[in-house]
Amino acid sequence: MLEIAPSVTNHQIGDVIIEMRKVEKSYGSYKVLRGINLSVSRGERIVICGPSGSGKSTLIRCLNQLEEHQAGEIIIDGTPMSAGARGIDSIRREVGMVFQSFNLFPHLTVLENCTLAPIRVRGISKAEAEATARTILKRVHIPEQAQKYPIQLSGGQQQRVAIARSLCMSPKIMLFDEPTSALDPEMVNEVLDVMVELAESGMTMLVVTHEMGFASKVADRVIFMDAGEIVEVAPPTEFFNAPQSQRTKKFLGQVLRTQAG
Amino acid sequence: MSAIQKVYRSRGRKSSVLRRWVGLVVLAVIIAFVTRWGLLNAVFVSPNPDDCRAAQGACWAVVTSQWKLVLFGTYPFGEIWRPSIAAVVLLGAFFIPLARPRLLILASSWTVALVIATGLFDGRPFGLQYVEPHEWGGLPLTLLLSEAAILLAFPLGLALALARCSGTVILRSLALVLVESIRGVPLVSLLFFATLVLPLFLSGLSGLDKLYGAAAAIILFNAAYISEVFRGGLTTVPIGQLDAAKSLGFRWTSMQRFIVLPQAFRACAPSLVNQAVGIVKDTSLLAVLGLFDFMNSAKLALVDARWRGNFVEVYVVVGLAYFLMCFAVSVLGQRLSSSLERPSKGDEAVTRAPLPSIVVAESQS
Ligand SMILES: Nc1ncnc2c1ncn2[C@@H]1O[C@H](COP(=O)(O)OP(=O)(O)O)[C@@H](O)[C@H]1O
Ligand SMILES: [Mg+2]
Repeated sequence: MLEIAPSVTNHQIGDVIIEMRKVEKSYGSYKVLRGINLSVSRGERIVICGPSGSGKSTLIRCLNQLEEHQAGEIIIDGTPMSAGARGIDSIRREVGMVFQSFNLFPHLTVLENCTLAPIRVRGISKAEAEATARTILKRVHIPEQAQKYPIQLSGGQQQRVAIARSLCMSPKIMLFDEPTSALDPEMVNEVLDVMVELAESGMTMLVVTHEMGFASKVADRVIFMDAGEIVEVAPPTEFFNAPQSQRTKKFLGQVLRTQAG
Repeated sequence: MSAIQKVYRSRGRKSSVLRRWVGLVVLAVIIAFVTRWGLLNAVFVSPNPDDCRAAQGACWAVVTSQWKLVLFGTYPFGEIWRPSIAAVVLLGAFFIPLARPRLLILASSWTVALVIATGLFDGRPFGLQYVEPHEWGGLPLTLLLSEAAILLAFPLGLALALARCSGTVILRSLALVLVESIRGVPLVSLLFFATLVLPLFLSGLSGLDKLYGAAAAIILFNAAYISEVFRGGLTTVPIGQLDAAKSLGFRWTSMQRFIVLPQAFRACAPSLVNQAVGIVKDTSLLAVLGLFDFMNSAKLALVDARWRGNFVEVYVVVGLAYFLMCFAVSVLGQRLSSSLERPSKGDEAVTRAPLPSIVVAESQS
């Protein structure tokens, strides 16, 4: 069985930073999100899980409007997300995102990947951006790879660069969409370790993952999604030991079996 | 290795040895002929065509004795110092980005050179006697048109490609109609359309010299093709790159400039170089409008009945000149595209830092 004891240090949870009210999203006639209500506090760590196709990616991609929602409200740090394009750019700066497939810029070095947005989007000087980037690359344990190109790194290293690239924008919220799913098993932990450290630093995090060990260790709340709905929300202890919904139980049974084996 | 493979291998080896010998012999014969015809027995300078008839070799005198016609076409002979300087300026500007292959350097040096050269051809900006554009001619005109068309067709093509990939339906369909209708007609008919038909309908264009209309046609025609090449390059950029850029707060313009275009350029650079070379050759179609680009000017050397028999020499000279120009454009294109190159997988020599042993990722996505 899984050991379920929150081991990340206690932390401050503040005011509401993400508010989703009755959010709906469809592709054509196909409803992907069916009335999502969710409110996340500053400093909170949320893990989202659920079967493939349940709308997890769509949900977090709506948060920084990589996907537009059609109904309902999304309010990030006091700003409604359906504002004009300008408003969206300024919110995106504050919301970092890490993708399953890394999406590093292949034509730039690791250091350039980390400094491009601070320089071009925030208007920070090159020297300052590089200094920050080097500090953050140290935080994700790859300071020595700064001059390499993404293709020369392992998957785990690339994903840590992707995390660093987002952190260089000093975001208020970090979104992760299955950050370890594309990795070889031996590289999963190096990425999860970085994420645990990030959680310890007090970052507000929404993480789509099936790494239940990570969820039990880090999450304040675990969300189970199925068919475009939030089926269950609970702190990890409750979520894993006493799931309420039948659908959650079934899903947990499947996931925990494969992860134990 | 299987028996069959062995047979093929040894056969391949024998035939490649044979092929090499045949090749060498053929090459030697060609070189011998070219040297004898083109150098040893050739007449290089002579005002008199009869000297050529007496000799066994090439008659380069057809070109050298009429060099003004060949090089400058219909430009007033008293003023040919102007296109000469223009040509030097244009060539100089061409070589600057060869030494420092940066797009910005190319764009600025070519723009300056084109303005100066056009001013010299025209005359009025420098307080010189006005020479009308349809009188311009020769090699300097071909250089002027080639550089102008390359300089303008590429940004226009890029703009069309971006419009066709944009989210705005009106922009997208406008670009689509423009590109498809231009690509659907031969350049020759576009040249006639721009210089003869269009001025009939747009009275504002009726006073415009046909050289400008022709230049516009060449630019539009090539921009349409270039836009399709760019579009091909743009589609090679994975959608995840756009997601990543947007999630970092990039606006559309800076996303294109710093993330999408550098990758798209890399993907389509060889085809873009092709297009640039094609532009140089397209300028020779100006002849159909009665304009005297280098090709057409050189033919003037054959107007004199006494030289008419020496067309081979004229075409050899013209061909060599076009080859050199196209080769130079191609080299420049390659320099520019390799300055955009970044390492490909396993290409360790390009790293800036010493490589500690690393595990190479399976694949990026
Ligand atoms: N661009 C799209 N067009 C049409 N359908 C899509 C698109 N993106 C996702 N979907 C559909 O939406 C549903 C939810 O997708 P997603 O949010 O990616 O699920 P998850 O991340 O939970 O696996 C899936 O059924 C998927 O097929
Ligand atoms: Mg997903």
